[in-house]
Amino acid sequence: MNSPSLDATATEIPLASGKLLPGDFAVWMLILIEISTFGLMFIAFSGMRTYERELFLAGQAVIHPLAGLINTVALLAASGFVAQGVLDNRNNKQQRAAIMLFAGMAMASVYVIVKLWEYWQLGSAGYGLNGDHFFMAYFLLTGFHFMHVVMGMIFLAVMARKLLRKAYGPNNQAGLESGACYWHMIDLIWVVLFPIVYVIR
Amino acid sequence: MITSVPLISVSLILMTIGSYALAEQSTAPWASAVILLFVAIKGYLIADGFMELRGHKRMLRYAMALYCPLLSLLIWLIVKQ
Repeated sequence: MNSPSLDATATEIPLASGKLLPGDFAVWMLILIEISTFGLMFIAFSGMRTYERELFLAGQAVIHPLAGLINTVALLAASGFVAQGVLDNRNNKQQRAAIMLFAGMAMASVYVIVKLWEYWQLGSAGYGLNGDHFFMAYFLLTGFHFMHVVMGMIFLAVMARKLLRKAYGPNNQAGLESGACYWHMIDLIWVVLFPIVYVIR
Repeated sequence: MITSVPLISVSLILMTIGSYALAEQSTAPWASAVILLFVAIKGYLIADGFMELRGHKRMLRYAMALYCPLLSLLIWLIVKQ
């Protein structure tokens, strides 16, 4: 775990001084497994796109890139709030940290609402998992990610509750850091997913 | 390296909007390359900044920091075929 950054300004991320990672080592193993799995899915998606270029371009024309942009901004903002929450806890401001986590959840809710709207729109137009290869890949990739976001939001809610009860503090932050790193992993995955699914043509 | 949380957030959001605007303007291979370069930088900022891996001397930090750049390069090589 990092040494408390009480000497740092409230928004500055401290430079790691030791060999210990933020959070639990088990969470980092989980993160490595998750990003490897998604990495393989991204490579498979890109490979499929190479062989069925016209089909994938037609599919991309149907989905909503603006919805993808809104979701990306929402997830990045959520990650910013969560990172700030970790710093606030380290500075012994648990209530402010909880507010940051709630703000992160609010931004994540934007993602959930927009994503459900996208699924509803596509479903109403007759697109689904049993459609062509593009939509099968689209629903698998984004659906798998969506499940991670929902799980991450549950973690954020639990951590915010624990912050309000002062269960975390400058000397007890491994759980909070683990949950935050899990959340940032979700963000990291979407950062790759957004361009390859919505943007790059 | 940016170390302020708000600055990292703003940089990430600006790069995202930039990628979107670029994709709206051009479908040329160079545009895809720039978008994937943004992905690489964003991944690095998230891993080293938000995940607080900056300064760690562990393999894990390098694995996380290289995840987006390597994946972007691989995707670029596949997509440009």
